[in-house]
Amino acid sequence: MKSMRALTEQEFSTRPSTSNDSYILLDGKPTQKDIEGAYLELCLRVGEKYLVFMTDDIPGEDMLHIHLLGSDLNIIDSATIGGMYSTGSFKNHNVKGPSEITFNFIGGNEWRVDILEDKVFSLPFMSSPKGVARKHLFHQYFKVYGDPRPE
Amino acid sequence: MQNEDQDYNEIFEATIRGLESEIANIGVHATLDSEARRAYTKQIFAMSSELRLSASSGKISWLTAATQAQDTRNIVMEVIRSRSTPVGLAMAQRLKKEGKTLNELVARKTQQLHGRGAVFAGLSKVDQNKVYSEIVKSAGKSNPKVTAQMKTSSYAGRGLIFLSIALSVYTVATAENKFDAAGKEIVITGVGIGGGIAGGAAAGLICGPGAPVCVTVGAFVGGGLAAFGVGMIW
Repeated sequence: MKSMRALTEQEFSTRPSTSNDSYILLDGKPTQKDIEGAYLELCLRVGEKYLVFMTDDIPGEDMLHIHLLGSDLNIIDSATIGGMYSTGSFKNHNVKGPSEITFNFIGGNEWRVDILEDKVFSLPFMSSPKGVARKHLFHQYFKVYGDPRPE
Repeated sequence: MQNEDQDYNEIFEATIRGLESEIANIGVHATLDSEARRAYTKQIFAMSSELRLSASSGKISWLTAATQAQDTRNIVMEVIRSRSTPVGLAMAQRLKKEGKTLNELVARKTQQLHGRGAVFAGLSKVDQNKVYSEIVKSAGKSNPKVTAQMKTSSYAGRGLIFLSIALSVYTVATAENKFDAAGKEIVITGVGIGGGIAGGAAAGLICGPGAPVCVTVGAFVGGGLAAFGVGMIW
């Protein structure tokens, strides 16, 4: 059965490769795999996959990048939460089930990420909450739920 | 019958003028917001550099510099938001901010520089100042992806303004009364831009803060109606 487990810094870590991206280290060993984001907030092992939460490390205008990686560390799907002239702080993460996690970041609300068994069709700009940008326009491997408040 | 044709012709002309003025309206919106972004990036970087210089030369402590960097960046952001168009402001207000406190930043920077288990209080004075210095430095950073998007928007905006000018020049050049046509073009374009700003602001009041779709529609409708109205009166 699929389970969700937080990985330690020894198991999964990142180091900045450019100002926007970082490369992954598995068990302390550098890999050739880059992901968007400068600071690793959390990495969860979900079955054979990895769910990675990265921020930009820009306190005044931070965005949260959520990546679902395969066992080969290739990116399966990504989403970004945030917006210009606004910022967030990743906290209160809580694993709710084998494929579900909640957390706070921006918008004064609780966000929820649900990993799907298979990809589902999605409509651009309509299948995600306000403030969420997706890597793929027409399909998703995980859902992001939230109802952020404006200022 | 002839009067009816003339009426339809006037409505058609005013509609075309209204649509032409929308090109300038969108172009000006994009350019103003891009300029505001450029100013934000420049000002927070200058603020951060100045505070680091003051702390390095001993004029102020590194703790003071870190505190001021946080406060000043927030002030700069508010000023820049007020200089944005109603559409830009609505985009900025779309998500409620949840920034980190200075203590949270100190804890995070300490761990980034000295490992996950490190505690700020356990650091030497030099290392504590290094943590504060990093906070001041990061306060001068703007998100490069947003800046890049705004730069693209700036190019598009300028392109639309250029297109609008080119259309106006063509209209004036092919008009029988060039003086009258030039005046009409200037007024309709100007009123279209003003109507767009006013329409966006009015939509912002009706829909509340952080409603960019509503404000964009308001700006478009406001600009179009203003230009159409003046076109009909002229």
